[in-house]
Amino acid sequence: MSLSLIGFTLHTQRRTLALYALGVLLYGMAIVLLFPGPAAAAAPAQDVEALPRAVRVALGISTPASLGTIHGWVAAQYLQVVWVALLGAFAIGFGSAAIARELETGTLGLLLASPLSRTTILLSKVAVLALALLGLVAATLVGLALGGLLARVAVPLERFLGVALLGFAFFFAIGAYSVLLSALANERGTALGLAAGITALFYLANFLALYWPQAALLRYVSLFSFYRPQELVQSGVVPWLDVLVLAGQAAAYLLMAASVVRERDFMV
Amino acid sequence: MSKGLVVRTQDLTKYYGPVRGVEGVHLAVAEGEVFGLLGPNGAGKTTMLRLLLGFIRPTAGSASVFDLDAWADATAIKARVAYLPSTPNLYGEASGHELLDLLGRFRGGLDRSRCEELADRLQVDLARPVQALSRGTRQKLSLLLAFALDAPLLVLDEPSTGLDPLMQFEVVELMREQRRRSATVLLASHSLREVEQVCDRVAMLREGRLLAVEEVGKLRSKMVRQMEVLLERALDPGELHLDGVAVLEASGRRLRLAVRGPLDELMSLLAGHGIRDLTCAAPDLQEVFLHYYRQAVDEQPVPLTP
Repeated sequence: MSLSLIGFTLHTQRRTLALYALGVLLYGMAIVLLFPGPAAAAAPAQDVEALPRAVRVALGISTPASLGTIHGWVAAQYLQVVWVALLGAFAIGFGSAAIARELETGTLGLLLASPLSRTTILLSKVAVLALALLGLVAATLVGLALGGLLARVAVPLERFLGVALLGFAFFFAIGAYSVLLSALANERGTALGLAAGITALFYLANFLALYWPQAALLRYVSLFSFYRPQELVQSGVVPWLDVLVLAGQAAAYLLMAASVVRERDFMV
Repeated sequence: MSKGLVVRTQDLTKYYGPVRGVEGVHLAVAEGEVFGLLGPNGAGKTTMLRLLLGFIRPTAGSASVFDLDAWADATAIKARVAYLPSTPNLYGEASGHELLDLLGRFRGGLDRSRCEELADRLQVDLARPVQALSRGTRQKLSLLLAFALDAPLLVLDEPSTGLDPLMQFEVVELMREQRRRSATVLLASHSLREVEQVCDRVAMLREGRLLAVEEVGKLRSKMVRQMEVLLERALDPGELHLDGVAVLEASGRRLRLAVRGPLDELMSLLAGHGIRDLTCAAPDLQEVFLHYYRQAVDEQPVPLTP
């Protein structure tokens, strides 16, 4: 990969990245500040119990009683849905832009006319995606820690490390198939639409697998079956095997992307 | 590397699905040569450049640059090539300085004073972001990025597009300077005038096929110029029976002529009648192409079936 290209891409994307990181940080901080305390959290927990099962499955709420702890509260209120939406959208948006937007705007010509191999160009884009996701995950943890300081609530960050690592692998895998689609497409919109559609299908497959016992096998086709923040913050373990499986999937998508980029025509 | 050859194509063919990009092109460009690819839009000029730069893979045939395969060895080739695309597609958020830094780092550095000199000549403010520049200035920045590399081979696709006449003259000067420092220049253009001003030889492409490769001097002798003359004393059109001169219109002291080849004899004849005014239109590219096209058709065996 090219450090110059990584640095340049990070530099040109710095405002977007900074705004995204700020949003992720502030949202996490706000969720901690809104924690009503163990006793008061029992009421929302009862409200959640009253929700239809389909809604609870769709929102990924497996243990409503955990809302009484700060880590359970954060997992349910932030990490389960909002964080996935924020970072998932980032991974899809950034990944789908990696090659297709450069091709669409013609700037790929500038890179292809330089003494960089096509694989180097792709790997540099992937490195930026990985660095950006690392930064966003770190900003999330910083937001939670700052929220704890401001609210004078002890936030057990060590319980979030497993989710942070798994989250990184999960979003990186989403970004990786977005990069593959970006390598195949001629326009960013096509790659973006396809990546968003595939992500929605993965989410639906996971929902069906959890809700409908006859469809339980569908969990094997969905990335979402690996992502279970509530369970992880309760146990506090780091799910290394799941991280490895997600990393393996990401590597497979990226190998396919590299093969496509090496072989295809670029009309720039 | 084959001695003296920088670019060589053999039976080079590219189809985009069923659509022909180029077909069966044989070319050889010598070191230090300024070589033009001339043709109307859709002739296959940009396809040729894309093939030589390894952006696209040939359907058949081969292309080599510095004796390296244009597709398989594209990365090594581009360490010695500067490319100007036909449209100035640059990163909008970046400034000229940042783009120069980036390209310089890819190639182990650029000569800063050369960049400043080019910015001055092309009147480009390197501090402004690309998105704040006009289209013409973006084109000038693209030119600067290509010429600043001082590469042994320059591949320029329509370099004068979007430039005012003064800047077009400057670009011609820059190309001539490249020739003086023995760089090879491959110039794709649809402007006969531009090609005529700088090129040593020209390949004419039409609908993806190579019509001819001609030295510019010979090409010039085959060009038809339209000339309008206002004389002080009327001239009998019958007096104008000269080789390569056709009278298109004669009205009193005003003549409209089509002229091919040397002008000496014609000018002496006209001078004898006092030249009050004379305008000469640029040679018509289509006319030149038709000449070569007819020649190519004449050389083909007559098909027995349509």
